[in-house]
Amino acid sequence: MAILDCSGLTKTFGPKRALSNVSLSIDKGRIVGLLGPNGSGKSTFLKLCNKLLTPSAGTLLINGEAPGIKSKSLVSYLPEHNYLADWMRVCDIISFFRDFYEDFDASKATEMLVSLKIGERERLKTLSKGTKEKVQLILVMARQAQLYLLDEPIGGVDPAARSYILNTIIKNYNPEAAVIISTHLISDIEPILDDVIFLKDGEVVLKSSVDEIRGENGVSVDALFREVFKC
Amino acid sequence: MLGKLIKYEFRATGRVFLPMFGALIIVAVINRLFSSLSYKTPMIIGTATSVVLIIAIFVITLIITLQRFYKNLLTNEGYLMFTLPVSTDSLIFSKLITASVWNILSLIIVAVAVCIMAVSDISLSGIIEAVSGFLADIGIGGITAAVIIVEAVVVALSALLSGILMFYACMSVSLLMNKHRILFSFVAFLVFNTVGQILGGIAVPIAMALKLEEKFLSWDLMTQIHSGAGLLFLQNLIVGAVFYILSRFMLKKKLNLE
Repeated sequence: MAILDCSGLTKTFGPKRALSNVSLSIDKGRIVGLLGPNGSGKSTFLKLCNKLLTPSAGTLLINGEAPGIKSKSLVSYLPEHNYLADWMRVCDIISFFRDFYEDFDASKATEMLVSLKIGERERLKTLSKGTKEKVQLILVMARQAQLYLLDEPIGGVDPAARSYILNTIIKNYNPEAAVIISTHLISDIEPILDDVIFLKDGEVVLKSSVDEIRGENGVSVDALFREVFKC
Repeated sequence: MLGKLIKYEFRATGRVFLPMFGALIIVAVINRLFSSLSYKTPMIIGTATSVVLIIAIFVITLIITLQRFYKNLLTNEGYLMFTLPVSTDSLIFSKLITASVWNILSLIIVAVAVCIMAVSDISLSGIIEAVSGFLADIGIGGITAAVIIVEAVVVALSALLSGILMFYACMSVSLLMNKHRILFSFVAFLVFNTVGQILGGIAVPIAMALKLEEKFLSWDLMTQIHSGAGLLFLQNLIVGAVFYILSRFMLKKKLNLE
């Protein structure tokens, strides 16, 4: 069954079309790469799925329902922005997540903090930008969600942490869940993807499985991306 | 979930308010000691410090009332708050309730500090006596006096809530803009106030034309007080509701975090 289903999804900002007539269906158990150059509508799509924006037209269903309180308890979202309040300590934000999300596994979060050597008593203000991103990703991945929406999860961290994070994503998500990862760092995430969606100027130009791309076109996703989005 | 939101709201704000309140009370007590010992210079310094602290408390209370809504909901922190499985109503109410409590507490703490510092003894029972004395002078006593005090408190509370909701509405309508949102909030504040004054300006001649003023003056004092309080309460209720609905609509339908 599809965890995410949308048809004719459109979002305009004034005269600008950020997303145009997008129809997609994402099944459980898939890791999907949402790929496209800057400004292609990746973040807009993920924001719509989180009800951070209201669609201009079209429908969007998460687990059969329009985005709302119920879908928010099923979706674990990593925005591209740092949303943590500076004055909090890492342990404060852990208890915040435990309080609001029933599916949050605090012991898992603690375990990941230890492996990335982030102290629970540290104040977020004193952490570097990359470390804050790691904390945020830990919080998001420590949930047992049905759908993970990750907006540029590896953009700001070093390559070593990048591999750890990608391993974490594969290790933590349960097979009943789906993961959508938006990025333009394709070669890094290509090995973990099942499917890819190419977005160009707010429109879906390709939706395919990684195996098909390799089989039919005989190229890697990264190479295909460079071809499709050639400047 | 509202309870949990309020808990975190108090945690986020208490770390500013509690030390500030503590500082004012300590300065007030020290000041009282100096004045009872008649030390002139420390007394002047102490009084100046406490005056500055009192002004600071009122300014900071206002700033935090605004900042908790703006920063926590309309900037990056909004990505966390609006993806929590809670309703928009809970988000607004958690801010509104917490801000109201701190506004009221600020007033109480300042009043307590003034009472501590006052050279002549002022106590709560003394204040009650003075107020009831005043009411007795104009021919009101007993239960009626209590009713009037309750009415005054209810009117003040409704004014506080509708005032905070107006700030929320100003900040929420700034979602219509993609840039300069803080500036736009100020513009909205001016617009809302101007509209309010125009409405008031329209209401007065209408009331005069309907001879409501004559009718009002023909009533006895108690009826005047009760109906006046009722009218003010009703006005705050309507204005507050309008601003609440506006804020809720903006946050639900026009949310567009940067």
